Amino acid sequence: MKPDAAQAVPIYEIRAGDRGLDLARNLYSTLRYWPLVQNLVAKQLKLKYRGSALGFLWSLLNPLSMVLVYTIVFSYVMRFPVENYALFLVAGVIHWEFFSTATSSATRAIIEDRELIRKVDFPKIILPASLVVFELIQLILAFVAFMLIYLVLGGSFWWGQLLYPVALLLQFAFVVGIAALISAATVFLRDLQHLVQIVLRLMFWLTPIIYPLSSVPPKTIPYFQLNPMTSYVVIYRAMLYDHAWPQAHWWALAIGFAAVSLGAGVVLFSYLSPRFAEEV
Amino acid sequence: MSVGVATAQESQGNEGTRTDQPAIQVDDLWKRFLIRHNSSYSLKIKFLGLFQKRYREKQEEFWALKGVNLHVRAGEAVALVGPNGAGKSTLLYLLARTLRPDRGLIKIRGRVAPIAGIGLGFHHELTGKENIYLNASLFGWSRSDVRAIYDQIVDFAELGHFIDMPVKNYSTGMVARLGFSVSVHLEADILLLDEVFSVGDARFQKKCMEKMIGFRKKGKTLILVSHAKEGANLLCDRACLLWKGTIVSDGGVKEVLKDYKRMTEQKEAIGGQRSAISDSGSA
Repeated sequence: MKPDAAQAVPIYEIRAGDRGLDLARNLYSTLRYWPLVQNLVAKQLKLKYRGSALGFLWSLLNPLSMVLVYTIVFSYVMRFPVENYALFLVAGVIHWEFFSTATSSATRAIIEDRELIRKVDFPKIILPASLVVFELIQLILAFVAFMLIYLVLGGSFWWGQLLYPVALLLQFAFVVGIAALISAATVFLRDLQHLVQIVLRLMFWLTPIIYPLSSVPPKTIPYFQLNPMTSYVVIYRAMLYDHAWPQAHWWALAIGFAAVSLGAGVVLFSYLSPRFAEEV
Repeated sequence: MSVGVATAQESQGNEGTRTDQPAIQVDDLWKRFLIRHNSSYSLKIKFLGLFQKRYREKQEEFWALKGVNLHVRAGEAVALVGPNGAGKSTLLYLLARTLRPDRGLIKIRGRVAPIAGIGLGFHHELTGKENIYLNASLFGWSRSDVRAIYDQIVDFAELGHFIDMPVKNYSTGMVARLGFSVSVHLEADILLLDEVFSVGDARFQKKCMEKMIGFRKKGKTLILVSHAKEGANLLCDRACLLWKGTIVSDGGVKEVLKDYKRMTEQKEAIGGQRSAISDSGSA
């Protein structure tokens, strides 16, 4: 911090009409704010678990209760002809939870931090991005817990599972894009907070999470492919449940959705963010 | 340490270190706010607005700044004075780069500290300590950077062991002291101070004043918005009078304050005449 000759004095030039679309420069300055990401993620972990006796267990109990209810309903009541239904379900549910919790909390990411946005200039995309990092940590913890009972549920290990981190990275990129998009759009359209909840609920049933994709009419599969979460769930399930190589077109879709979402999210966010301070 | 974070372009080389360059250069700055009547963030109202005129948003323009020119040399201390609504705070937010100009150019040489004043963005569930780290990282500081000055921040804010308590349990004075302490310890080149003389009690205000006189000695640039004339007098060598979005008087503090007094009296005199006329009319 000591002002020395080697450290150049930063010069800021702000002109009317600047839209902050200089992505390369923004990316560089954003990366230098890594400590902020760490602090925001730490903040969320502290706020979430401070004062609760069970701490992280609460994060597991939510998907766990979901798995329990659906297993009872679909495997014992409706008698869905799926082997090892609990395992089948968990592989989809934990990754759906990552998407759905990140998306719904993204609606609050910008509008809740009004004071910060008005007082300090910093790369605001860090707000939705750090929220997704936080949810990713939750997912990884849930995944570790899942792996501990994996063999009990009847799972087994397979070399194709080594590609799990790649699938996770793709879904992470997809979710970051969606979170950026929704957090920025909610500033201007507060209704999104409610709309997102409804869309997520519809999407849950339109994604093959509790049922296999093979059980839907073959004619409708192209429509299912329009849903980004389908490709991720199919890939995860192929790895963790079917032990089969996910077909190439699912990978293509997963990559495509990740790239489009991240690109659109970052561009729209950079376009709207100069107006946040006036609108929040 | 890598703390010099700039979101805008950063120049390498000697150009920026020359002191004869102005620290702040504001040229023909205009800022507009849209006052929205019938404003709604709701989808339903926006949709109805397509068909029915009475739901449609009406926008009224309010120009908070109309062609402000201001050059501040490095090491200068400038007081912005003027009545409420003259655009003082708007100018401050524009210098902090959280608001964007609608016309004109702002050029700033040096790092700008977060606006010091009542209530920096604190999270009420987090402790004072956690808030210090969070706020400093908003400014681009790493944990080790903060650790080096952490004790100074806590000492200056006079929080002692309260620092490990959630901020929601703090008194208003404690929050204000912590906010002020964080923003003055971030070692920026340019400090923006919004009504800081209302922070804490008389003793703490004296301490703030000493701190700021210290900044002046270190050659830092200060921009101060204040209603307290003593503060401006003691600290600043220059004042700018903002009146309805333009700088109408710029010079020594005493002269500018005199102008301010004169204009206020004129306005009151006109207002007084008007009310006298309307009084006689109704009588």
